[in-house]
Amino acid sequence: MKIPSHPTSKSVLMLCLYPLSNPRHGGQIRTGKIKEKYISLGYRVRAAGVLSHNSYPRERGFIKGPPPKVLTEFLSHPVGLEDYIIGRLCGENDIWFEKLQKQIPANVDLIHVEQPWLFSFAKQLSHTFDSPPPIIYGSQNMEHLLKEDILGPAFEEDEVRKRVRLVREVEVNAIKEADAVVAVSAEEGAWAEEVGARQVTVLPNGVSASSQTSRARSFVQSLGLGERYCLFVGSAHWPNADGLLEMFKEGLGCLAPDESLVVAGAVRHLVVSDSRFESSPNLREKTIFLGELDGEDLSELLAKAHAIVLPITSGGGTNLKTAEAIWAGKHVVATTKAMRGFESFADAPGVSIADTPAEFKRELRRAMDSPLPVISSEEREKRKSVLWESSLRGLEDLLHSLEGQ
Amino acid sequence: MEVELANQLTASFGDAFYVCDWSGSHFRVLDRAEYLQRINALPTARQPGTVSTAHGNAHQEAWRLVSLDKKSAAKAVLRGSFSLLPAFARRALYPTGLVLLRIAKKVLAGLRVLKQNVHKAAARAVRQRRRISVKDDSSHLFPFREGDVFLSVGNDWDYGFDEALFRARKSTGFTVVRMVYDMVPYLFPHYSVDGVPKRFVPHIIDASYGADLVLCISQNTERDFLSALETFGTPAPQTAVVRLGDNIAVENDVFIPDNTPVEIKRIASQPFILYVSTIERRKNHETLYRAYRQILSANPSAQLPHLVFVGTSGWRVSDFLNDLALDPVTKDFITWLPWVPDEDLDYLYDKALFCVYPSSYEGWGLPIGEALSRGKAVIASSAGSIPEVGGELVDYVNPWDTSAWAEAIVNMSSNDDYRLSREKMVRDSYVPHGWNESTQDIVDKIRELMTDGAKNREH
Repeated sequence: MKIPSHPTSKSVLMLCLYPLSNPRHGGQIRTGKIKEKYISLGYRVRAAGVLSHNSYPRERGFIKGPPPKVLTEFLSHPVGLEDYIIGRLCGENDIWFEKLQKQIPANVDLIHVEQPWLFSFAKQLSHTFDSPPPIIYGSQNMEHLLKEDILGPAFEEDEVRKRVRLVREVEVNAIKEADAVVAVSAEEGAWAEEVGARQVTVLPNGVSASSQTSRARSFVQSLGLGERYCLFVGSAHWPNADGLLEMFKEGLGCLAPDESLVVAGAVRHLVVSDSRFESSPNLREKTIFLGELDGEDLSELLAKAHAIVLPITSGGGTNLKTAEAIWAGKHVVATTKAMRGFESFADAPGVSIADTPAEFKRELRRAMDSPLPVISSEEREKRKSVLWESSLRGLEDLLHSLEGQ
Repeated sequence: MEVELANQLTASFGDAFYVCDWSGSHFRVLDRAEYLQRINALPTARQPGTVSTAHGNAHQEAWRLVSLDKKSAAKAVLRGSFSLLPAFARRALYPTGLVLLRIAKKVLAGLRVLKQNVHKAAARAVRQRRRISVKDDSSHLFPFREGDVFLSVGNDWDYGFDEALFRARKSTGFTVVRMVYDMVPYLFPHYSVDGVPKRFVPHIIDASYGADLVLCISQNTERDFLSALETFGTPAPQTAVVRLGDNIAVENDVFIPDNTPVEIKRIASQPFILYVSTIERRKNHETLYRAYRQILSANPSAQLPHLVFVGTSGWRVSDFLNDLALDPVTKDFITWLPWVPDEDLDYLYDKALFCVYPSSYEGWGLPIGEALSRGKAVIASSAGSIPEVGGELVDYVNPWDTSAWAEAIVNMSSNDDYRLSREKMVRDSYVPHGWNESTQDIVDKIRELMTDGAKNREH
């Protein structure tokens, strides 16, 4: 771990709904990187929260999430709003508030809440301290829009509107009440300002400059992925699956017989359980699922890919995978939505933007037929801005500004 | 077509032409004698040297006329056995029999699902193995060199050699010519045998990547093929349209009327309408049956020509065949001949009042050309490529409009002046296209490709 250049005795409490060791999905990775940044700035960091999913491993500071019965008692058919309900319980229910409070030290100098769910808890908690610390709201998305995409297929229009309104209330409250808002994109930052944020800093998602190992090299070689492959990496986040299925629902014919579509990440079960996967001509035949991989194996997979696809068609926020794809230096075929926050790379060598299935497949075919893009040293320098050390640089200034208040 | 094509290719290329067989893992060059033996075993003609008498032929061919498909046969055996029991036994056993039948149906359905799941798991395992094992250039699986031309004119989605062929062509540089007859399994999966639609699209995609030229049997097929590739995002290979032939390959082109079986002569002794096609749902025999039913229900004494279906039974038509056999309104008006040799088919065309073709979709429509080349008037559906075959020489009817078919059939059968005028137009205007011309067309296109390929190699 990097030795802080300006050690401080200050402490920060980070609140979220997932553990931070062995991060798998984008939210965990981002929160983990922000935690590392705090440490590098000399802060003592304590992470705490609620494990919102049964699959999350136990971690110090985190309590187990409520059972399905409790979720259903709060809101009938809670699917897609579990995080919202957990936040409401911790903020309004004494038993849940105290359960979580027990995980937290008596006093902290700063509270950082990732996503709006535990903001209400954080606000009440801050009043139990000797001196209420500033609260930073770390936004990862325009949550109410994301929920609209997720809830849309599951509920009638009126019910979707009602539920989205509930999420928006919590989100807007966090933005307004926080002492500072950290947004992942300029678009999100502008919206936060519009709804009344006191202070907004944009810290985009990034990627780690990881190294490849011989073990990972052997592992990827053993997979027999074909002459060339294009890669899609996605967590179990509905927009990831939806985008892939939408782009290829009329058939995946843009890959030659000796090429494959390799899909890594937990997105697998969302994809295969959707009827579009079976009904799309040739999609099943061309897809190789690898499931969740560790960082080294994923790095090797990225290094050996000929093209990376980012078929994101819904959801907000910015995509960690976009940062990874840009850093990898391979062909990138992405939608406009996937490039959100990385618009400056839209014309970069090897990057193609396509928003319709026909265009996307055409660009992918073109990428697979072309040699790998040539990345000049100048271009490589420019791409360093997607590394976490660059993208989170603004946090230091934000903390200074909060200290000054 | 394969026989004619083989003859043409031999005439054009001599010993440079040879036939290969796909064994499931590699191609094997066939010995010429072995190939000829296989061709001669095809059931297109009567065995050469047969001394045919009317009676002998009746015995020779009658077994085909009275045989049922297996499902109908099994039902008939069960019904027959049940009927032979005394009445008290039938009364006692009937409810139990029903229960047993229901259980049997459920068990069969479960076994079908299990079989499908086993096939799916096996297919997944094969795909997994193929991904790992088909990792080299596969050139050792194909006995071809640069400059050779590989031609496949079959419906070969079941063979599974597309990926290996692609790799071998990529590494060796030989030329590949494939053929597409239609896009039915993609456009009309509900008309296809179970499992075929799923195999068909990957085959079309992989075959396109691995082909220098794809021959389509009609402009409509070419349009459907290219449109599908565009939807899939597959780059389109070079395509060309080749027309199929109209003539039935009667041995030595000598027609001996005394060879015709008695049953065929009996059918031909009264006015009849001919529909030549496999009996499957897409071919829409049901519309003709309904049209006849409509006419005869309204007027039981209507003077209708007999309706003759010539063609083997396909899939999911047993209920329809049952209707044909048992419907008291129509059964004396409709005859089904599952198979007739080419000579007898030629005879039936010759004697038919006119021909019909109500198919809901075709890649070409061979029997229409066959009928027109014999100067016959034709009523056909307007779907797919059918209008390409006869143009304005054919009367077109919406394949789904039973009443329109009934009207067209009554008009063509009863209005002699109209029918004769249509026949005259066909005789005066239709230009038959022989199989030798079709296959010569294919040979010419291969030569063009070889010439272009040689020029490209020079550059």
